[in-house]
Amino acid sequence: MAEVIAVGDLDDTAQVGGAAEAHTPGPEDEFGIHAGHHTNTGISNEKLAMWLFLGSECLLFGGLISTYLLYKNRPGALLFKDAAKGARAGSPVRISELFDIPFTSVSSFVLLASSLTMVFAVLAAARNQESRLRLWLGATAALGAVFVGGQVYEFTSFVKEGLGYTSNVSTSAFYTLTGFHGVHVTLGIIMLLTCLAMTFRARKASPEAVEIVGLYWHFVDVIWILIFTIVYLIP
Amino acid sequence: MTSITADSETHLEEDHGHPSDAEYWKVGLFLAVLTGLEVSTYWWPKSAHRFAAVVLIIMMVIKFGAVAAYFMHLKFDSAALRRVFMLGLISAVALYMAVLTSMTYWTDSGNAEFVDPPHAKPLPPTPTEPPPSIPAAGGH
Repeated sequence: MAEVIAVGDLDDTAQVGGAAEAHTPGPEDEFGIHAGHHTNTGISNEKLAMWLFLGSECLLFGGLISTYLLYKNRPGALLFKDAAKGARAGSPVRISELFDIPFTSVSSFVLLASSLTMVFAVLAAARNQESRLRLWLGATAALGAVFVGGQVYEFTSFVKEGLGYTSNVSTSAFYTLTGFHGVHVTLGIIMLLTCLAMTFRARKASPEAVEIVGLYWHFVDVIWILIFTIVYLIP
Repeated sequence: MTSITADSETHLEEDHGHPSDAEYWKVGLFLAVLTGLEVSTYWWPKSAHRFAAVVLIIMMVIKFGAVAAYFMHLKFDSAALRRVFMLGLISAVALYMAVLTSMTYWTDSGNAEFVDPPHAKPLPPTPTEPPPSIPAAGGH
């Protein structure tokens, strides 16, 4: 790629203001998506914006995780199983005693696997392998859908146990945290399906666009790594 | 123009060392094994819960770092992107550690005891002797 934009290879127009147009990554530039961009930072503005967004998302999820930690054991965090049968019916339990760890572990493996398939989708986009790109994008979206389905099932089973959003402070904090994450996964699936749909159209998603969607998807995965450990596993 | 060329060469240097497909599979397998180990702590005896919490936090940090470094390409991408993300991450950790500390999380809500209802504060001791009489002030 250095040869493409070397001083000697640019005509006068490109040297004055058309350098961006002169930049055309060749087929040998497998990782052209990471290569230099003609901005002040040398990074594409879209990618920088996504990283800034992800940095700010750390603060959002940090707040939600902290809120859950603060309220999970506070006075008022008692849950009475089968509360639907009557006010304060059943034996008192903590919210964490209702977690189905084997089930949530499978969901975690599914989301982790979706991160790996997303990596191969980004690579396929960079290598201009359209059929593989479709395969990996579809697989990532499907795995994400399985994860969201698992979360819906988990929420449903909790509600049947009498664990509603407004049951107490700990349930509100739990549903807000995991629900926000679920919404992020759902938005990611929509982005993936949009990229997938664009592969069937004349105006295709650029490799960089797929990479940016991939960054968002991996971020959703790393946030789940934190939630799974802090909320579900730490005794 | 020279600066553009120099920038591009810098980026090409940063692009060196991209993992191969096989290496991505290895990272994925490593993450799966770590997740399996994490899940196994659920069946550890209660006496090992404190140790399990430490092990879980270490594995969580390793998994987070592996996904960010390899899958999100932070290890191979521009240092500016690394700084942007780390700024948000470190700010979040510092801010919420301060919040949890100010809310006495480490000594109250973080304990393993079930604190609902909260432990009642002990009543002050009952006085056994009557308080000393105060002489009435003189005057009319």
